[in-house]
Amino acid sequence: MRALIVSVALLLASITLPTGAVTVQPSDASITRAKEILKGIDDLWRGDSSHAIFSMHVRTEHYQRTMQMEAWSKGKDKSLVKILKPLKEKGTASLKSGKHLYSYLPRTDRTIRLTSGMMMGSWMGSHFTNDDLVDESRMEEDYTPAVTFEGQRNGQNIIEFALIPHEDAAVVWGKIIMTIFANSLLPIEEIFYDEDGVETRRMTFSDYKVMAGAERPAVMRVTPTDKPDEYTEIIYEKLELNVDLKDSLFSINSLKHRH
Amino acid sequence: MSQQHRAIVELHNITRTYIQGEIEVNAVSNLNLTISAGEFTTLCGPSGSGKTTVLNMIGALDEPTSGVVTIEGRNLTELNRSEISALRRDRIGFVFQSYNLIPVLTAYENAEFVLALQGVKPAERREQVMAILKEVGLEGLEHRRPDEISGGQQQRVAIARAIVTHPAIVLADEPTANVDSATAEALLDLMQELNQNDGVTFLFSTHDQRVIDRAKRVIHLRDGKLESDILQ
Amino acid sequence: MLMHFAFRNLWRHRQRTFVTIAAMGLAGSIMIFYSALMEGMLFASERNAISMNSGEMQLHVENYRRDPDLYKRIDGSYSIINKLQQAGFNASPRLYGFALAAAGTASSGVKMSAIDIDYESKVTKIHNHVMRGSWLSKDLPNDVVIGRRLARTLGVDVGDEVVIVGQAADGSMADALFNIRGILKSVGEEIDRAGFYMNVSTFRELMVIPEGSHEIVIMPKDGYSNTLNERLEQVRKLVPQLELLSWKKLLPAIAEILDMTDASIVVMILITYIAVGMVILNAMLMGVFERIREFGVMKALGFSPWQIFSLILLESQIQVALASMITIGVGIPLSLYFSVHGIDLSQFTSGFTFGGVALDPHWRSMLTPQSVIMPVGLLFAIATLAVIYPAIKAAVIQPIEAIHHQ
Repeated sequence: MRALIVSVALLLASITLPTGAVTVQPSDASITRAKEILKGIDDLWRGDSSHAIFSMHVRTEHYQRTMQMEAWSKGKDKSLVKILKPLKEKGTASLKSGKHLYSYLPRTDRTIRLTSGMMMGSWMGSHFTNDDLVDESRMEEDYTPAVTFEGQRNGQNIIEFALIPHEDAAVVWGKIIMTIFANSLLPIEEIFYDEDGVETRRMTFSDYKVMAGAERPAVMRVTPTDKPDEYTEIIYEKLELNVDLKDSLFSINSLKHRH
Repeated sequence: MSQQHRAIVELHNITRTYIQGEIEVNAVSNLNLTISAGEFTTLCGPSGSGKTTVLNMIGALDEPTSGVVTIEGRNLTELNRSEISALRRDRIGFVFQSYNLIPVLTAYENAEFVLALQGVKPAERREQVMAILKEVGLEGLEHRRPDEISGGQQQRVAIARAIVTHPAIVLADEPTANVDSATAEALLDLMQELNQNDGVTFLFSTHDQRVIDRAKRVIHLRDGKLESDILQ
Repeated sequence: MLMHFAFRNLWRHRQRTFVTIAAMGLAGSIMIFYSALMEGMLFASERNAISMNSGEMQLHVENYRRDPDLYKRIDGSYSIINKLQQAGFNASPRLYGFALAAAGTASSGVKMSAIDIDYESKVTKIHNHVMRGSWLSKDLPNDVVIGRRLARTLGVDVGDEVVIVGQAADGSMADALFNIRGILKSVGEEIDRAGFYMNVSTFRELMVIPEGSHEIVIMPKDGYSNTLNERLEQVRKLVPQLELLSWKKLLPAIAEILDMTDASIVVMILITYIAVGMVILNAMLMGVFERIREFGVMKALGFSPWQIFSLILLESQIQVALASMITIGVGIPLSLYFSVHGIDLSQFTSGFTFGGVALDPHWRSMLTPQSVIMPVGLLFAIATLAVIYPAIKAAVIQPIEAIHHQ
């Protein structure tokens, strides 16, 4: 979900959150307020398509590695990520098309579709799961936003949202808490809880700078709560929004092509 | 002389009651009787007079309802099972109407096993058994089994078995009932000889006139009571 | 004296004696043979269960079984294996990894099992369970052997290609193309569904694991036998730093089924014995009651109740002793014959499963001390129990009743 959102430029495109169904649990006023704010974010950051180059730095108990990737997205359900470095994995590509995820493996020149059993596996050895890459669109259908805090925190004006899944939604998370700056609507932090309400991972944003004509966070770090020494960090090197991308870019055939 | 008049069996006020259906029947009532060493005595009377019951009680095969039976001065009611077994083994010889030999044993073995039971050594057993078998006229038939010899011969084996242990008394229940007249006479001759020559005490229960004729003492029972006690 | 008497009685009633002895002896022989067949089946099930894949015991790093992790490896596995070999065991190192296998448009999660062919063949017999194609070869590093359901899921057969994608130990992408060299017979749910066997050297390169192994599988060199606990202790002393599990812990479901079967075999044997016991009881009852008059006369002539009881007991014990000789003399050779030749069931079935374990269609008996001691012991026990009632009856009977009992 968010990973891709973010990774593929996207914090923004993605924060075009819910406009869908409403549950009555949080107060109607807070939901209405949340939707208003999210609408504002959407207006500010909407981009129909994106092109980015970023590096991904993964640190685990057992290894540490850095990759450079290039990514494209169009709409909410089309995205493509290709590895530029290291050389060993260059050309390896992930394509998201609708709810399906495909991988192209240059060494064996094969394209495979990931099955549902693989979705919770690690994406490219990072702390993101494959599921994170395809989950985006479901987010809007499955969760209801509500403003839980507005005001000063650590000397900053912030807004805190809680995203709660609908009772019958088949989702991975039990709750997501998202904090943004009240003035700029830039993201600060997202905290993910499992279905038992236990904190599972934390995503933090930093290094706000102007990219694609506006201020945005250039660094995003995911830390698993049970392994605080591990993390995956994505650092944007280049970001363009509203670029002209053909639909054919997001086809299985184009996976093999070098750019 | 004192040996001859020593009391072997004493019955004191013996009553034996059977329950037949719901009626109590006194097979023997208030009977007093003494049998001494060397006697050749017969109990007689019609069927149901109680003569077999008396014989069984003396042989410790049956117990009186009241009264005391003593054998050589020992009160049977005071003896335990193994003492009763030992008494029957050592002091009493039985001769039955239907012989009651052990069918799988030879004539020799039938006479021998009571001695074996007493713990007599094999060599001694052999000597005694051969002597007795010769005495009862079975020489040469030692290795026959009961079904290989005549009724009279079987009864001779039974007599040999009864006397081989030198019992205080031999109890013979209708010993001649299953044999022909000549055989009966021969058996009686044998027993009379044993009584006269060896001093074996015999107590018969019979209604055979030939036995009664030979007895030295005849005790008549009727309805479980002593009717007469005659020395002949 | 009683002994002499007992022998003579038996000899004089020899027809009945022989029939009784023959009946008991034959029943006993059948019991031995039956026990040996059951033991053989249990043994074969156990042996097949453990020789298929699990081995008799396994070593892992603490908690590997609960949470299998690429990084929980046994260091210096070959020196441990050398140590085990000197102590009379065969042992084999294994590595495991989870990955995605894909062929055409189909894909499925697999459990890669990396084995050292030379070592593995001494420990397990999985190489004998190839349904199509053949087992791994050291000379063909890109060949794999897979489970039958996995082959169906992927829609592949021998000679086809399959792609593996996973994550190597250094976080890099592990992907490679393999040839399917063999497809396994049904060996067990997990292997059927996800088994993916490859050479250990191939796996090390793919997964970037130059050293160590996840598992060491152990079998005693002298084959499987009954002293598992002793051997567990022996291995535990040799390698105290690792977690040691016996096959009973590794295959708890099968161990439980086999235990239950063991118990049900005992029950079946007992039921058969009760039936045999009835026959013996009948023979003993008839033998005593036919002679009740004889016993009465013996009592009248001075046998004590205890002597009568002892005599009858002695007669039955002599008969059982002779019957035991027949039991042993017939039962053991019969069982030994079928332990070598087996009962050929191949015309009825090409192989059958018992407790979830595939069995050879040649059903072989197995003679154990237990399969002889139990039938003979029970023969004695039952004959003794069967004769106690008539013996007591004869011992306490009134001689006067017995004499008049025609």
